[in-house]
Amino acid sequence: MLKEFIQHTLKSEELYLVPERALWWAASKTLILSDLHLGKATHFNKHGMALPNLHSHKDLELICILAEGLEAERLLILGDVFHSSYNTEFQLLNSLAKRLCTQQIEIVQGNHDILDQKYYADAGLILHTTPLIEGPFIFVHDVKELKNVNHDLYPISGHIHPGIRLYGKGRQSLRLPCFYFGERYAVLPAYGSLTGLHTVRHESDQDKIYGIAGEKIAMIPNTFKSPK
Amino acid sequence: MSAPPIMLDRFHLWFKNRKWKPFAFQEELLQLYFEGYSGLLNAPTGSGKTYALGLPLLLDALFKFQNGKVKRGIKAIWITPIRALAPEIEVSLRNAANELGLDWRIENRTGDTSAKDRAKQKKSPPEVLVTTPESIHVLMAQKGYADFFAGLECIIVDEWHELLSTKRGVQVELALSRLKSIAPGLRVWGISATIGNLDQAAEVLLGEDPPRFKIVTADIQKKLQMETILPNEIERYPWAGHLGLKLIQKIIPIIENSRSTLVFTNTRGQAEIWYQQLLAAHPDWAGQMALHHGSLSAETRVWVESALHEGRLKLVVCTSSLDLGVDFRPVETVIQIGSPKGVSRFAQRAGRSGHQPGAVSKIYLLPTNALELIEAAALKEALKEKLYESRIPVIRAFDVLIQYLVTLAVSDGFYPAQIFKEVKQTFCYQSINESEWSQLLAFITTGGETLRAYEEYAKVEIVDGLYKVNNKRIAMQHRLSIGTISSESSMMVSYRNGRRIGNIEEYFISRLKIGDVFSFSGKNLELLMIRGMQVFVQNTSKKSSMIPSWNGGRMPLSSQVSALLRKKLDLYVDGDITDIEMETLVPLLELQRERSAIPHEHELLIEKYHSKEGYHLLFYPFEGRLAHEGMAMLFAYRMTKLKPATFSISMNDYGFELLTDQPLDFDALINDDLFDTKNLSDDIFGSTNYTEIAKRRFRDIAAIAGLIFKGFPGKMQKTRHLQANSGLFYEVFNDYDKNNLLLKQALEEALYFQLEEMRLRKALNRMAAQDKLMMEIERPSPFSFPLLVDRMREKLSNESVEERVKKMIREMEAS
Repeated sequence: MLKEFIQHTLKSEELYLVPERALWWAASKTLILSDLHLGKATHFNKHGMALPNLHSHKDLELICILAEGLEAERLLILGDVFHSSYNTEFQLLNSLAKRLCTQQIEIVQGNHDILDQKYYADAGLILHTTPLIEGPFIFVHDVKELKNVNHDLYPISGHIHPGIRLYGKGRQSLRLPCFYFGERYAVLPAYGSLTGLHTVRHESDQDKIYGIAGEKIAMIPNTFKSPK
Repeated sequence: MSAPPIMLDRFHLWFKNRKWKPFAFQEELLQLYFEGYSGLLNAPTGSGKTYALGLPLLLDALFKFQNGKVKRGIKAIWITPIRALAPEIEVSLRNAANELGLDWRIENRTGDTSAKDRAKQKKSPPEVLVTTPESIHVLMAQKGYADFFAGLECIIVDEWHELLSTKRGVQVELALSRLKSIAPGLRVWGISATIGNLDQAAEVLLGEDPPRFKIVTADIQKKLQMETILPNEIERYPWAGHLGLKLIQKIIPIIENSRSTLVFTNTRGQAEIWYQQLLAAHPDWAGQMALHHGSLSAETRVWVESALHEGRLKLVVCTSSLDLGVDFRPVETVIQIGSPKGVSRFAQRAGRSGHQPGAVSKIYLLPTNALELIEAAALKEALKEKLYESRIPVIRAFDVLIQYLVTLAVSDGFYPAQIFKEVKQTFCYQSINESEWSQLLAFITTGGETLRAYEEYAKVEIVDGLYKVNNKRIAMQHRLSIGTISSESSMMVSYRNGRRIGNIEEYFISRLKIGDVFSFSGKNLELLMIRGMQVFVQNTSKKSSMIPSWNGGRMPLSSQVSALLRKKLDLYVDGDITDIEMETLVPLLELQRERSAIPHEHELLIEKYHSKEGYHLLFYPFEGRLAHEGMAMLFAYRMTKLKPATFSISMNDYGFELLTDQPLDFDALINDDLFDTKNLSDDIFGSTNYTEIAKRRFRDIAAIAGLIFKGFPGKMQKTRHLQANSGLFYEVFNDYDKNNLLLKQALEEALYFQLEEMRLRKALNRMAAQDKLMMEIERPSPFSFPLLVDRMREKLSNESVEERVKKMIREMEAS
């Protein structure tokens, strides 16, 4: 399974980028993803705006396949797990927890996660209301939340739903969801199907950006400058 | 009953007191009205059309009043497409009523009407309500609306030609279908400027099975005169572009010598730039000139309109915002910057000048690039021959129907059988079938298909067969969302004291930093802060080159003008040059002939060109940009059926360009199959780009059908967690609810309206029969130049994303 992945070493830790928009931290056997926005469609439905919500089932099914395939011991979600106030889609999280009973599921709270903590507790999920420090990393939903952080720690975050724009000959252009590994912090792509993209760019020569093109991941060259 | 002699006398007396003479059509309308006719009045702005229908309405009331048959309540509704016009119409009608001695309340009701006035109107309705299509629907969302409208005798739809081809027109059709049931015997009258399909306009307005009706044409001939502003040296005039500032010195004397001038531009951004440049060229006009476009605050616009009306302004730079409405009598001259693309619009704008009886309407056309001179020559002929365009009515707009059904559910609820019968009578929905109807009902009650409801979906409930919205919040949300005019997410710009300047799209603001200076409303403004959806600015003397752009649809060259354009070129090739515009263009056209060729009417010009950017293939069907977009997609799809490739395309009103990074055997690819109209829609559906177009259509559809809620007014932040990107919705529907009616509508709209399928089909048949004039060019020809430099590109590809990314990365690494 790992051969489809791209390896990215960070602070001497081996990380693997998964094209399904997730990150595999091999040493700690943790599958990391961010911004599920589960319950979004149903939230809209409750407000009289009709949307199908079957993609949520697909999204969670894929998490299970990944977690089981990788023999993950833990699933870590960097916030915005649930889109808004409680609705029936939360049941999906319950069943996810049941299905992944041997894995621990941990959540770092995001700005959308406004549900009472007891929902998570009842489902057997661990909710971190503050950033989570582990190894050389600090896991946080929105990197802007971090203040007075120990600079030895490298933040891995979500929140912005990063996307990268590519340009080619014949004046083509294309936008892809991406992983952003900057000098100071990293941002994971949004995992949920019902999420948009916010365009990011290389901000320095040290930045590394990996675009997700269908089932492949490709490092985006930094030499690239957008035509003006 | 024909008009009683006593009322006929009053009619003539009224005109005599005003020192006017009634036109024959005005007398005819009086008779028809008393006889209970419905119909369509074809009359230009400034012809006394308001009185032509207003007087019969008031005299009929007066007659009934004198015979003691009066009940209070709404008797007539006057619908206008532009709410700024409502007060004007109200005043005209009220003055006439006073002069006739009729004690009637005549009021307007639009989005601008205060809550207090609205409540008053609800409790004690005026006899005449001047309003907009949206406001009628808002009224139908009120409890007891049927009683409110029960005494209605007449509806007049002003500027029907403007509404006809829009979803607002559909709103009018739906409102009429309901009101005809509530108030039997209702007369329906439309007022329309001259268009190519007047009969159809009447058919759409009156619906199936219309009452006695007649089309009345105003016997007024207005004299139109057009003059093109010619560049001195055509060789130095730009080959591409939309500004035309190089010719500014040529219009200054025209403005100087005219009492009052309107300068029309095609976009709001253009208007801002021209305003600034004219002011810079003639600083002493400050105070006598103004700017008018749709993004400026209502106060500013009203001020400009009344100042213009009173003759206090020498010059107003404006957009289509001044196409309709108020008679600006002092206006002597109209200047159009850039091709208006259609004859009707051009004539309408020309008609804004010369309102004095017998006066000539004079309009100048300033071409913004050299090739527009051909359009000028074509337009001149089209004006002379009165080749007015048709307005194509909207059909099968499910989004508007969904909105309407929820509107009825919000007020008193509805029984589907009754409403289905009414809806079927409208032109827009005459083809709707039982299955579609039940899908619509399912959509508003369960969300998804009949068999599988969306979870927790809450909207319309069914109680004893009555479809009703009981949830107060949803009812409120719906009332606020009534309407079909889509607006980009825009931010309100105001001074620190709160005075509003206007609206700018969020996208433009998002690229600015605090302290940046931009031009808007003819002023240089410094960005101070952004609070929620509000932008605070102050005036500054600092200069700026940043001017907001607004996303407005650019109209394609109409088929009438396109055909004449091809004819002008044909005549030119054979040396028949009579128009001054074509004569001016000789050096440029000769260059075109030297580097490539100029096509006869029976020829199709195709150019091949190889540059650093890749391999260019250029077609010149001269068929308008929308049909060209469709052709480009179709050709790209057909050429890449065998071999995957990626094209980027550009198009304008004359032709389109396919650009690819790999050499293709164009000569072999351009064969009869390319122009075949068989499998046309399938091949267009096959193009990946089609999805993008459908997605764009879906954005408006989703908003109209209530899938996207824009938030409660006055709330700084958008409603929490209900922000949405319609593009995502589109994909979710596409993946999980493919039969969704709104999705289907988006696909249909993309084909019929965005790509002008009918026109495209006709053009392909013409092109198939044409001789192909294949030219390999060494240097860009004048025709190709605007296409080659266009940076606003679409891409077309049938390569996989993985493949394209790999290629792009390889290229990026190589560079």
